[in-house]
Amino acid sequence: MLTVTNLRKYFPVRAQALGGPKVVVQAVDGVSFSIAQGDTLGIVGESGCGKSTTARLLMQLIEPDAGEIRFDGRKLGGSGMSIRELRRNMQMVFQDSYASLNPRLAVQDSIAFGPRTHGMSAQAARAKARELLGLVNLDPDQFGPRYPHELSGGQRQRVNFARALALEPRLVILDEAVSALDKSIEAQVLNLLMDLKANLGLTYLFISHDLSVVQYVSDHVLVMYLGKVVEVGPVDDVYHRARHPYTVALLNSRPSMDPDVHVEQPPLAGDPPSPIGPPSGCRFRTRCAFAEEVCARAEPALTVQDTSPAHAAACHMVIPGSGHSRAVQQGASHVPPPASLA
Amino acid sequence: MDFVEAARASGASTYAIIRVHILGNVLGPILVYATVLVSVSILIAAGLSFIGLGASPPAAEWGLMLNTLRESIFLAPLNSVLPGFMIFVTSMCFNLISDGLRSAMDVRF
Repeated sequence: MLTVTNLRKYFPVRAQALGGPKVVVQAVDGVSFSIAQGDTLGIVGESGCGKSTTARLLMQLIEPDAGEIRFDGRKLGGSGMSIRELRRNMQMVFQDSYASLNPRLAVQDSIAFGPRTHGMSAQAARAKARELLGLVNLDPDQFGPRYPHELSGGQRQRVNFARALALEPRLVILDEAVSALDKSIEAQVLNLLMDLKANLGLTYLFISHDLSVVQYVSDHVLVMYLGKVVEVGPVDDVYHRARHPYTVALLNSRPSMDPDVHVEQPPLAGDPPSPIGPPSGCRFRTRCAFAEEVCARAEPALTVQDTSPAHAAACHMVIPGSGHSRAVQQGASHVPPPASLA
Repeated sequence: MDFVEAARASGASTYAIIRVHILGNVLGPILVYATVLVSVSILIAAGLSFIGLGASPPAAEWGLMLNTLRESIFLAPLNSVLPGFMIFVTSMCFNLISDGLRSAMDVRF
């Protein structure tokens, strides 16, 4: 349904010295993925790895430097799909439920704004807004005329879903949409999201840093690190047969439900390097326990794994003949993961 | 702000976004700031005239009056403080207006 190829965005930063070299933040660098109709793609990664930038690029809220976006096989821009048409089919929910609603508009007017701009009459838009409020389990008579500051966080975020659904999009981008909510409210809102998806036939792009939530809602998962895709695949393959050491470290950093499991050592130390002048070769090599000379020299390409045709990882250890001492053998029937997930 | 981004994402024109989402939110603070500025200006003007840097004698100015009436403070004390009292009342009025405007313009109050 949505196919993204080689999406790239570099943000210019002020030069360090007058007349010095131009510095850029490589926020998103060559990200490709596709989402099938009715699927949920989860995007996970540390803060600053480019998750939100990717979402904003998709919505064309910021213009990509390069890359191709295809919706239903139609290319965005030029003679293909217009940005306006794309935005009718694709909507976004932001993390901050309060900042994403106009404080001076009653929530039903906020929801009605989208349909109004697409030519619906004021009365029809109002009726639509009330219907949508009902859809997200808010009583239109009670909550419609209220202002955002009169609602709780969970209620506000449900209003944001209603607003996103007002244009009847087919794909909804949820950018950390439940991260700011209390755990109990988060579960409630997640269930509402799943119901909406089933009832309206929606497709989700679910961005989160919460691995457990992503596992719960997603069909496919994409792991990002410093603006690049390090691993992508069906949720079971990525969570149970992770191939990239970064994915393994992320999964190991999850809090366990088992009180007897204690993590003595953090799976990863330090912060990711700066996206201004990232490490050469593999961007993860500065924090990787298995980094070798080849990792600094060459950048690993996303390579399809034997677990499933949709599962791919970008690590020299899973690329046959890459020159890494732990690289898998060509034609190996089963490759053990680089580190145990026990 | 995210709600402006959301409006952009819904495909609204720049003009519609300014009219619906931006003007309403900035008009309040601008009016409040303007009225506060009026009362501050009155105080500054009076202060400058008082020390002889503002209006010169034939002009009617409270700061100036305050300065000239200074000499008669023992003869007609009420008269000599009257300009000062008026300055106080006027700037207070503008402050109260700005307070009222803020309450009236903000949906949260």
